[in-house]
Amino acid sequence: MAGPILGIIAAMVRIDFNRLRFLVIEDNAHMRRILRTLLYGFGTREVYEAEDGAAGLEAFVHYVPDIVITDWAMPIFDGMELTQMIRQPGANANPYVPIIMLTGHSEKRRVISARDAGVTEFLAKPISAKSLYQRILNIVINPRPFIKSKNYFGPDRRRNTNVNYTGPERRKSNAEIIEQHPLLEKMKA
Amino acid sequence: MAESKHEKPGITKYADHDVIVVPNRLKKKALRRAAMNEPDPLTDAERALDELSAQFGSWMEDEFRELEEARQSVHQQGLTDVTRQALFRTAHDLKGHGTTFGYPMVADVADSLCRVIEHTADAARIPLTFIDQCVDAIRAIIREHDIENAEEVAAELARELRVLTEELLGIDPNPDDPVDIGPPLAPV
Repeated sequence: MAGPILGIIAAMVRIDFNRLRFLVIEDNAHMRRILRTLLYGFGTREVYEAEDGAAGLEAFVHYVPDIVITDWAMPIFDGMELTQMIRQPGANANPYVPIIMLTGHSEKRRVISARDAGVTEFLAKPISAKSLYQRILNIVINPRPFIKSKNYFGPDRRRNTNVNYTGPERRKSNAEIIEQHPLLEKMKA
Repeated sequence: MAESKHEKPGITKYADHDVIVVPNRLKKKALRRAAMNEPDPLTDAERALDELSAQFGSWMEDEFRELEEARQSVHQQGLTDVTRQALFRTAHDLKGHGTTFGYPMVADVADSLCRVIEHTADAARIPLTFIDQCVDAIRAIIREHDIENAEEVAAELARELRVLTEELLGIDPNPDDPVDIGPPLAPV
């Protein structure tokens, strides 16, 4: 989503964070504290926490959060593996749950790996109140459809339809490209 | 956002994939129009973070202690898979948290250390002196954080270690043009 548009939207709306339940999975106690502080600062009342991927999966099944925020590098299994376990259609209560991947890895190939695991939003450290809020706002306002194929289950990896794209069409049919309505129109709806 | 009995995702099937449109329950549940003159939702969160920031100095010292322990293990046991991963993990935490905690040059030096650990295929070729230089630099930056002109010295230190990193990895130092320098060794 383009930053200026998100800024306009952000000024027009508010998220009632007290109606959302978060699960934070992060092995570093300091970063958990920062995330908890920010989420409570936004107005959230329900923040559940886990220190590793295994405990995170258990908490996910138990608490059924609205939004998951997970670190990448963690003991037992990492944020990528956790995402792949959550993105199993039929295996849990909500395989569509929005997942924000929080990490110090900001290289392009890392972002692509996270995207291919089914991550919804990618949040590179250092984090700020604004960057976290923007990701959550994008999730609430602008969810993408899910794609289920032989090799992938997760949010549509095509965020935008590029009218100037001249390369080969890799999907077997063009018909599945869902028109993405401008954000302002979505808001009005 | 558990799946509701009343709102099933819409599924459209195609030759090699399905497109699933999931009802946007979060929007219905939690989004509303802002009231006139309603305060910025970020204000309280930023204020809370600012209050928390009084603890960032001691948090930085906590995280450095773990890096120091990881360095000691490398010196005692050599660069094994276990000690290398521990060193990477602690350096990676500092890289990720340094700027948030108000120590951006710690993040910069930790990034250099992470890059060398991650992109040197043969652990035996990682110079212990380079590890020591990075760890000592991080310690100095944290220790001298509140001293006048410390930022300039820290920036120069970080720059020198970045240049050394590029030399060790055998690539042209050009901070404006980051390059992919090979397959990753995923951290555990």
